[in-house]
Amino acid sequence: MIEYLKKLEVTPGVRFVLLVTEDGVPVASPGVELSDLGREVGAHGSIEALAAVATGWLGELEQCVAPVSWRAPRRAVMSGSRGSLVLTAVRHSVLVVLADPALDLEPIRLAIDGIVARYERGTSGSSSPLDGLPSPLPSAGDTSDKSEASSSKDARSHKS
Amino acid sequence: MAEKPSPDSYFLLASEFGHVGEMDEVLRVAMEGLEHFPTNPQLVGMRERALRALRQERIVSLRRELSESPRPAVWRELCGVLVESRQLQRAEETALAWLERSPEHLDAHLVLSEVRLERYFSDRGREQGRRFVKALNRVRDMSPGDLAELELRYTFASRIGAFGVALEAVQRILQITPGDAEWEARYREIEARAEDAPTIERALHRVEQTGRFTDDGEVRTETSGPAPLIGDVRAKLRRLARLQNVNGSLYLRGETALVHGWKGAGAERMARGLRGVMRASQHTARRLGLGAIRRIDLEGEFGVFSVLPGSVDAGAVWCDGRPSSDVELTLGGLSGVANGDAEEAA
Repeated sequence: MIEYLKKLEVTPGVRFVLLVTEDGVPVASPGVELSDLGREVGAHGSIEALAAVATGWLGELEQCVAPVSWRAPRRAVMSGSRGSLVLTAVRHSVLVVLADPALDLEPIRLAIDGIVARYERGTSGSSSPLDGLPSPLPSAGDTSDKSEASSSKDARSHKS
Repeated sequence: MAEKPSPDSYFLLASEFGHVGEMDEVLRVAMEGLEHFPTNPQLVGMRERALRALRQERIVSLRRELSESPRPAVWRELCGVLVESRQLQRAEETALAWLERSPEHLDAHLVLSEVRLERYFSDRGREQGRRFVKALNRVRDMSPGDLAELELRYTFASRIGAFGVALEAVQRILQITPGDAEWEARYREIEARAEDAPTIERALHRVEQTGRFTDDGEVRTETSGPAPLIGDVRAKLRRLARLQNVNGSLYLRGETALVHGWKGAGAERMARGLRGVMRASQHTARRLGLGAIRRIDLEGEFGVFSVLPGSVDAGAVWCDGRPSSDVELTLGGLSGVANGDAEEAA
C-alpha cells in the first residue's frame, strides 16, 4: 500500500497522504516513520491529530446522514480557502489526502480511485490494506466493521 | 545528464545522494533540476523532502547544543526552525521550556508571542488568539514601546480586522521611527477603517465564525446581506430539482430551511442532516486550518450530496451521480443568494 501512497503523494498539489484506521489511528504515510507520528503537518497539527480529526469528521458525517437512511459516505471532500481534504474509505481504513486550495480535485479523485482499485485488485484475498504494514499498536485487537453493522435502509425509500 | 538533462535524470541523481544521506546535495540537484523543469512534481517533492530532512537535522543539532550549552540564540533559532517546519506545537513547547529556565528573559516572551501568533493564524480559533494576546501583553508590560511587540500587535490586529488597535500600534511605531515611509503608508491605509472597527474580542469571534481574515477577502456577517426572497429561493430549488439525476435540493440560512424533494419528517431530517454536515465540517476546517469552506461533497451508495456554503447560507443538492454542469451552475446561484456571492460560490 505504501507504494501506492507514494505515487499519490507526488501528484502536483498534494500536500500530504496518510492511511488511518477507521478509528483514527495513523498507519502509514510515505516518508514518515511510525515513531514520528507526533510530527506536525503544515498548519494542520500533528499527524496523529490530523488522523483523529479527519476520521472524526467522517464519523460525524455518518451520523448526520444516518437519519435519512443513507449509509456512511464512501468519500468526503471538503474544499477550503486554505486547503482541501479528501477522505476515501478503503475497506477497514481511511485514506486521507490534504491538497492545495487551488487544486482541481477531479484528477485527485481519479488518482485515488485508480489506486484503490489497483490495490483492491492486487489484494483480493486480503482483508485489509493494513495487512503487511507494521501495526502501530502492540495488540490492536479486532476492530469491527461499522459499515457492516449499519442498519441503513435503501435511501430512495424515504424520498417522496 | 549534462548532454541531455531530463527530470528523471535529476531525480535519479538526487535519489542517489539521498541514499548516502547527503541531503545538501539532494537539495542542490533538485533545485538545479527545477530551474530547467520548474513544475516537475517529482523534483518538487524531492526538494520538499530534502528541505524537511535538513530542517530535521538542524533541529536535532540545535537540541544537542541546547543540552550542552543553552543560550538565548540557540533557543530562538530552534523555535524558528520548528515554526519553519510548521511544528508549531513543538515550537510553543520549546518556547515555554525556555521561559521556564529564564522567566524574565524578554526574548523568550517575544518568541512565545511569535509562535502563538503563528498558531493562531493556523488555527483561527478564539482561544489561540487570546493566548497570543496574553503573551504579547506580557512583553508590553516588560518593555513598553518595544518595536517588535508593536509590529506583532499591528500584524495580528490588522489581519483580524481590529483596525483601531492596529492604528494605535502604528501610531506608536511612528513615534519611535518618525518618517518611516512604509509605516506612514500603513497608517493612511487603515486610518479610515479604524472607525467603528471591532474590538479584539469581537474580531476574534468573527474570524472564528467565518474562518476568514481580512486579507482572505471580504468578511461578511449575518446582518451584512438582505434576507433572501423566499420565492426566489424556491424557484431556484424547483429549477434544480427538475434537472437530470437530481433527487432533491435544499437551502439553509440560519434557522430557515427550504427543502425540495423530501416531505414531512423526511424534509426535517434532511435539513437537520445538512445543518449537522455544515457544523461538523466547519469544526473540522477550523481544526485543520483549511480556511473558509467553499464546497463539501459526500459520495456513497446514496449518490452524491454536494453542499456549497455561502458566507451566511448554504445550498445543497442530492444527485444520482456527479452533478452535471447545469446542476453546478444552478447550485452556485442558490448558495450565496442572500448576499450576492453566487459568483464566488460558482
